[in-house]
Amino acid sequence: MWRLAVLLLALPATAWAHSPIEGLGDFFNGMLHPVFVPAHLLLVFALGLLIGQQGVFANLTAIWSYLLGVLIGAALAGAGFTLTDASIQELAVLLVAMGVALLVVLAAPLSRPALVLLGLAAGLLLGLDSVQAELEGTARHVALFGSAVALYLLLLYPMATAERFSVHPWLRVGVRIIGSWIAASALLVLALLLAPAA
Amino acid sequence: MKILLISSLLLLSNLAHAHAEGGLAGGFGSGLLHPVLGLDHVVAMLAVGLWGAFLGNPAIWLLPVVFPLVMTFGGVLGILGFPIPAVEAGIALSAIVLGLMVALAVRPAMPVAAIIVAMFAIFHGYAHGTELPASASPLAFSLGFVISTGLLHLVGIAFGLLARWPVGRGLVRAGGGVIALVGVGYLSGLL
Repeated sequence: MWRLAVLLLALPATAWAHSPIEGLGDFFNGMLHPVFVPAHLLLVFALGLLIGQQGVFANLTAIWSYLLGVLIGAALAGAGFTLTDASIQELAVLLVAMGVALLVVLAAPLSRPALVLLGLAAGLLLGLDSVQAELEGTARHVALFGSAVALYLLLLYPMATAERFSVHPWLRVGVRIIGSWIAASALLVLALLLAPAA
Repeated sequence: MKILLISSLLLLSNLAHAHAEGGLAGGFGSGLLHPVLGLDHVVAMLAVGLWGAFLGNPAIWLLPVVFPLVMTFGGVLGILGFPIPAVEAGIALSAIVLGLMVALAVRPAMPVAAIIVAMFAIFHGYAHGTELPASASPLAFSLGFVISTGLLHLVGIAFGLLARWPVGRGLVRAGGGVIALVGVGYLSGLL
């Protein structure tokens, strides 16, 4: 009976709030980073939708340029390089997310070089903003590599969805509606970040 | 011994629930619930979808794309503290006007319909926007309420598609009438 009581006391119900991060290790911790930063998710989803909407196979270079941007950004962040302070970087991520989402809403054809540049810029920004300040040395590099892998994988889902949805007018409208949701959310938070403190 | 066992069982309470409103998930959940918890918001959003479906192409897809963007403009005004008078009355009025448009089968030109919907979208956005600064995760909250609003439009559109059949057309118009009545209830303070 005593053993049972001790076992029951040891059940770590309260630890759930933080355990997914604490016990994961640096690589998977890094992989989770874009998932826990909504601004990153918005930009990745918007870019994925845009590339899928414009045609994946016609724009493979945009995907590679995005990956290149993420890797360069993560490498620079790992070396301690930052564009500016973290809040301004988040602002830039949201601004680009809003712009890309508005392009999804407009659904106008984009030139291949424009999409390549957009992918590169978005990737660079995300890579630079993926550094976790509390990590140092090898742990920081491993986490950044994990973030880069996740940022690439996360792009594939909305991209494949938008590509699949391009076959039917109703589904194409669905992609544009999701674009409007992303643009609206990004704009609201931009307004909140830029609003003068009450 | 029994007392010890009971004490241990008491400690098994789900303490994590205490944080349900915090963090990303809490912010998203709160945002998702915000438009659904006010009946005046719900019926007005349903009316937008109903009217869009009733008007057919291009309104059926244009209104759900345009509405969140214009609503955001209202949200920005709310965040910036720009004073908009009688927001709640504006929301109730949106249910009345949009409900009547459906009930009376009004078919204005597309730009006129878009302006009417956009005008009311500002009131709805303003109401959500004033809640945003207090949210634990503003981005998750805003994403939640924008998605929730969009899903309410989709419900309205799905119901509005019944208008393709004569019987369904009557049902959709009756639905518009009910929405207008709910709006009257809110405006008069009965609801």
